Amino acid sequence: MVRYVLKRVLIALLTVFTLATVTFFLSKLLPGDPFMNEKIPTSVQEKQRAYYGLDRPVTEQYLIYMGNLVQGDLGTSIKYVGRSVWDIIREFFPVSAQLGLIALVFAEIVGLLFGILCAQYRNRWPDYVLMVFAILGIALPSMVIGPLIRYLFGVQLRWLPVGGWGKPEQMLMPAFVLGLGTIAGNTRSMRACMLAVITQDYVKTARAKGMSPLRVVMKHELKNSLVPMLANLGPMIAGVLMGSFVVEQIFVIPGLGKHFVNAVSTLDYPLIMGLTIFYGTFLVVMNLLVDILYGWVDPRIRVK
Amino acid sequence: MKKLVSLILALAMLVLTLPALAAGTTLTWARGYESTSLDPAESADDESNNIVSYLTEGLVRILEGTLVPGIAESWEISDAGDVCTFHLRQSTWSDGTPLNAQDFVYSFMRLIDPEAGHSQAATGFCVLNAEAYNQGQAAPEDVGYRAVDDYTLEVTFVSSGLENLYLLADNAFRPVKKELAESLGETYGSDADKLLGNGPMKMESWLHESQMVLVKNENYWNRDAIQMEKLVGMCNVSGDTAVEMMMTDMIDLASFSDPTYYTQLQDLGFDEMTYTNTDQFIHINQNGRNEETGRFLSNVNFRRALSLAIDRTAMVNTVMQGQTPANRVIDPDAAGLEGRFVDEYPVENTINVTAEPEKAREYLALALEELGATEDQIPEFSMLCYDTQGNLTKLQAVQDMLLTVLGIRCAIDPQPIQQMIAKVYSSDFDFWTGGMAIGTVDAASPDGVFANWDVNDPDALFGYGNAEYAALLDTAQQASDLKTRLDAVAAMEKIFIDEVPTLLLTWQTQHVMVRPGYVITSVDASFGADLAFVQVQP
Amino acid sequence: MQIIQRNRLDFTPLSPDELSGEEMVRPETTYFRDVWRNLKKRKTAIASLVILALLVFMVLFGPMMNSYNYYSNDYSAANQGPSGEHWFGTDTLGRDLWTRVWVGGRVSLLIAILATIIPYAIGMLIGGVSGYFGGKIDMLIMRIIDVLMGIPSLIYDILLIMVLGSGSISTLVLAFTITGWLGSARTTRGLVLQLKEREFVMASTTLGASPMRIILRHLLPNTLGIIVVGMTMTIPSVIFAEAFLSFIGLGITPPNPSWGQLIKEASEVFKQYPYRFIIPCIFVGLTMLCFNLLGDGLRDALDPRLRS
Repeated sequence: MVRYVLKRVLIALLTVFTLATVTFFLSKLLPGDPFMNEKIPTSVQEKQRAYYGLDRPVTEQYLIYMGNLVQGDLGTSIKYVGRSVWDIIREFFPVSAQLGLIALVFAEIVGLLFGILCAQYRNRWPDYVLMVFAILGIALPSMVIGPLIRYLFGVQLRWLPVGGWGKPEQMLMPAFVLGLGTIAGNTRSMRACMLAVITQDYVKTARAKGMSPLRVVMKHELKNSLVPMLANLGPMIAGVLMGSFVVEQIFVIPGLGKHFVNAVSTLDYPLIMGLTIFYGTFLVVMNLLVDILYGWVDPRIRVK
Repeated sequence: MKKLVSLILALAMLVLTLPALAAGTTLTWARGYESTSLDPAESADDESNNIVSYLTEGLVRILEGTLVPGIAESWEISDAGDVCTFHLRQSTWSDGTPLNAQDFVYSFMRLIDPEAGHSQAATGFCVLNAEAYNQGQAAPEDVGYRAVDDYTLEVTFVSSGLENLYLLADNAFRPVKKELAESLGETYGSDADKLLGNGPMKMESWLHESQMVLVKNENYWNRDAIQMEKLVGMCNVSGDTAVEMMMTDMIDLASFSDPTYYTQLQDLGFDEMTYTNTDQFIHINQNGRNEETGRFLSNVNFRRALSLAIDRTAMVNTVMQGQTPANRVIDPDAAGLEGRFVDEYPVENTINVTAEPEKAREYLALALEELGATEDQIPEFSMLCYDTQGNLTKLQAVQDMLLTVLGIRCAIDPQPIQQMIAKVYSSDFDFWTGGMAIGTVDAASPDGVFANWDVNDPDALFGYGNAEYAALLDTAQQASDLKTRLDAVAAMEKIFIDEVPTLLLTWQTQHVMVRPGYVITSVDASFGADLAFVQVQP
Repeated sequence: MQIIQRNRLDFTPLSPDELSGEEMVRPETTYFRDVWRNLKKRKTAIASLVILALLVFMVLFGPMMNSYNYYSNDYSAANQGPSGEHWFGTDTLGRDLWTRVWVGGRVSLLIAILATIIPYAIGMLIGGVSGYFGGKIDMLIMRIIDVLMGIPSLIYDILLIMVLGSGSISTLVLAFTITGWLGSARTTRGLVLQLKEREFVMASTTLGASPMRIILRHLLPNTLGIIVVGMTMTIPSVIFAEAFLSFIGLGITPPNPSWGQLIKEASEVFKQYPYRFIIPCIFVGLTMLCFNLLGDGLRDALDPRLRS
């Protein structure tokens, strides 16, 4: 187990290193210059470039950046003058995380229920109806469904506020929209797992012994099909994190998602780097935890 | 089912009634995006600039295009025209501590501090030796600022032009308190507790990307003119979201240029205030992005043909709704000597508002003859724009007009903002679309319309090479009487229309939608309605 | 040896008319024919296949069914609802939406298919090499994949597209390829690891086939079934990614339409002109739905355990 965990941690560290390196050079390849502005004379632009160390050779910049990174220093934003990348993450990530968590829990529960029902009624109409419904969740991207339900519940029915963040009623719509996309994936993998388990002998035996279908599901099937579900968690978190960009924009949520896209388009190098590394590291750590959990639950994995 | 339908219908009816909320001394408004910095030396975008202007007060202000006193009660200009002596009133910061001439000198010197590299430093270069100091070639005591006593400030400018005084009204010349600025360093202006002002409002709280709360500054020198007790800014609210928030009483004021949005609110009984604020144009790079395109674009008849192919009226009816086709450079609202500029200086040769295909093709034929080229040799042109849906729709319309009328092919090149600017500077475009604050007609003002096409300014976006035009611009900026300046402006306009350095399309009108009861008293073409001076109808 | 030789002499050859004794009762069946037979039983999968075929047909020939092209403006016909003249209505510039929807579908589907097949092909090759050779090569490739898998791909798609310059089909496909081959490489490697122990591979090795020949001719074709399932599931996500990139302004350059572009253009005016928004949404939704259902059906058809 220790060997397994160590190996995973080593890979995770390597991933973060690669991530930082690739992002650094990619962002240097981005065309344009963050200080170019019609109102700022070139001499002042030079001063600003020097201030952020952007006048030095790229390799030197890289070494400085990696040195700072090791010490946990992500630098200062160029666009948001005087605010460090950490300030920005600290301020906006909790909002995104909260939104993502609610969405995940919602998607997990609905996906689980749908998956169980689909497997139970395999190839009969409830299976088809639920699958179509779940897949519609993927098929209708958040940029489509978001404005629609905002208009319906926010303006027409006035049940929920159109936007903003902080109150529970402001979280319902965005979490629903964000979770929708992952429901289908959950349903499908849950259904597949359940089907795989259903055909196992012990489940057949339990049924033969006269156990009610519901008890069979709860006692035998569910527990065993949850294991592979764990493996889905990593990609799901990634999906929710990225999806949050659109949802945050539609529902006026002060989250981290929009900062990333904006940083790229304004060439705020420290922010692009900082956020990519932060997102990446966050995902790597999540995957690491899932891997370790997985290895702990299912010992066969460790041997592979 | 029937019940459900009728319920939904009933609810829908509710929405269509007038918002019930009444106007009070609190105003909640929609802000398009978050301020990047509220440090006067760094504030660059409109959403930062308007907040800075609520929070601080400089020596002078521009109100409705004219200079009015701010902290300076009065001023005298030396005979040579380059030294201005300001007499300050006794006033305080919003925390009650006194504000004096030394504070201004500190703030102005901080702006051009060579160590700090502030982005707005160049605004300060109108003062003697300021640029040299910023470049490390002059000592701080050589810079043209002198606090004669606590309430007298003497400023020596580089030139004697009138434009200098207008420049002093800029946000970059707003005061910053020394102790605070020195302890905070570059983080000044990044949070509610990291700034201090002396303007009509002071900041109570600032949740980034979400909500900003400003309250009345009881220590403001002109406090009696302020009726608003509280201003709440909701960040990242624009377009459809703003409309829906207006409908559901979450905000009181939002500004739109697209009729898709404001027409939805007109029917609901909101008050509307409009002002013309932007020139929409497509700039022509006469050098071209390469020799091949430059060969054609430098030909004046070719450019005339382009302009004649554009149906400005059709565009206003479809893709640029709510705007006015530009038939000349100066917009109809602009002030002249006494009345409107457009009445005092009529032009005979106006810009075509509808397409004139035959004439366009004649000019094209003429251009091809002059160039000794055939139609097949006309290359594909690149149309650069900032990547927004509005720009893309606009360019697609122009793209199709040039293709149908003249058979000229163009490819649209949408870019994120910084990449677009980089391409503009490296001349990597043939056409470039943009919108620019209309500014004042008076070329003495730094945001005068024609200053944008200043051939002498290496950093101006459209270096337009015409010696006669450049000479006129100098006259317009430096002459001391308004008549001479406006005459020069009128002459520049004629050259501009004739030479077509830029395809002017429309004047864009901004529609400020506001809950009935709030009265907007002052508007700035780039920042919008001045919310600090909003009055409440009794 | 001797025994065998002696016994041989005990046999007497059969007369030719007796040779038909081992005739096959049922027609010979291949793997794919078998899968197809199983797939045919699944109504949803077949329905999806038919709808997809129809969509492909319309995308190819739909624009030819009326006289409009996708880029010409007609200001007298701006913002018209669906009618006999313009079957799907027109947009702000008076362009015919019927034509734009199908041309847009062409772009979206082309991107989706290319950005699925190319990365899968690369992934399969790398995965196949990795799985077949094993040892250090496998170790190295798998570690690289492990590391790259940890990087959120959409972030890199955004950065890559900005570096490569946005706006064309090829840059989108290239960016998706750079980030998209990892999953298929990993899956293929897993399958190859199982397959290479099988007899037919051993037989081929013994006969002196080169490693590349074994990988290309024997191993990869046998992984195709599962890979195809993966591909049908990937296509919808590429369609989604294209729509997402259009939404943030990194899609195809106008006036070229794509479904993502059409949705983006209409998303702010869906209250005024609902048809402009709903029509492309229906086709995006339908395509994604069909590919998903087809994938589900294929997977069931491939997995003998789930055959009922």
